[in-house]
Amino acid sequence: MKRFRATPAGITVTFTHDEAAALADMAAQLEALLGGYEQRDGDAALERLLPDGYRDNPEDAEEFRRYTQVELVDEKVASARIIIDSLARRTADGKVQLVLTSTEAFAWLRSLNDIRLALAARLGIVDDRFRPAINDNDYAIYAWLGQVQYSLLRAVDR
Amino acid sequence: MVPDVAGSNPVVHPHGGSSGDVENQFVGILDIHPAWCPALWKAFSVAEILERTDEDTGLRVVVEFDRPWITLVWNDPVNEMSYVAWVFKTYFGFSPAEARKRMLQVHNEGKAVVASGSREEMERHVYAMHGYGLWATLQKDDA
Repeated sequence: MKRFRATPAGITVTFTHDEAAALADMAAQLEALLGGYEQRDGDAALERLLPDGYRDNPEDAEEFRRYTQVELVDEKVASARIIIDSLARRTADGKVQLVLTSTEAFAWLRSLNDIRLALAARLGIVDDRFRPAINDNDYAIYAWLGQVQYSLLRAVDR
Repeated sequence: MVPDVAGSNPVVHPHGGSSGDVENQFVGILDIHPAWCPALWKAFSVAEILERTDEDTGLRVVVEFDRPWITLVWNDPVNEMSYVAWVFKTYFGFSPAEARKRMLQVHNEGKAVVASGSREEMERHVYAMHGYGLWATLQKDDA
């Protein structure tokens, strides 16, 4: 799927109205989720987005978190906002045609990954043996996000 | 002057007087790096230099080697292989071949060391990896 294209003007992409609405909605959900970072414990999605920096040392992990967490959350929220803001530039026919700068494309790539991480945690994808149920709509969205991210990566990584 | 060993910071403790058990002072080096062959090999070279110094000056010297810290990236079922390789290339400046090699190590062996050095440096790397959504941790190198 060659959705994103690298051009001299920037990275171009077109989404249908529904695709753009779904993406913007998921980015907004990610932003809301990250806003509740203080309720991280026991929330699989937040635990995956904001993992421990130390594996077998809860005290060091806690201290690391104290010094870095707010900044990390801010960074992730800023990237999600870039997705939301760029999708707001929609044209009259409902389609969304974008030309992303390299900074925006970088934020898109990282935030699409965060959305996939959060969605995977909700779907219970914890190891490589996960097999989705037939007609699992959420999984279909997850797989679609993977394709979108891959296409963007191919356009960025040239 | 003690040569820098594998980028770590040797701490030299000179003791006055002469003693016959200079070799025993270096047993600790074996304990620190039992399986770290290049460092061990270099440590032996240092031991030899210091033994000669000992004969000349009568000083007894103990060398301790700080273990470096390492950044590990762990396998997970969500991050795509191409994305992980791109992160390694973009952030660490690895060549495409090196990035791919480390990515495959993460995928096949469950984890890979992507950096080593001071604790502060490794904390910066782990923070950056979390920014990219990779599952990374730091620890003292106990290999």
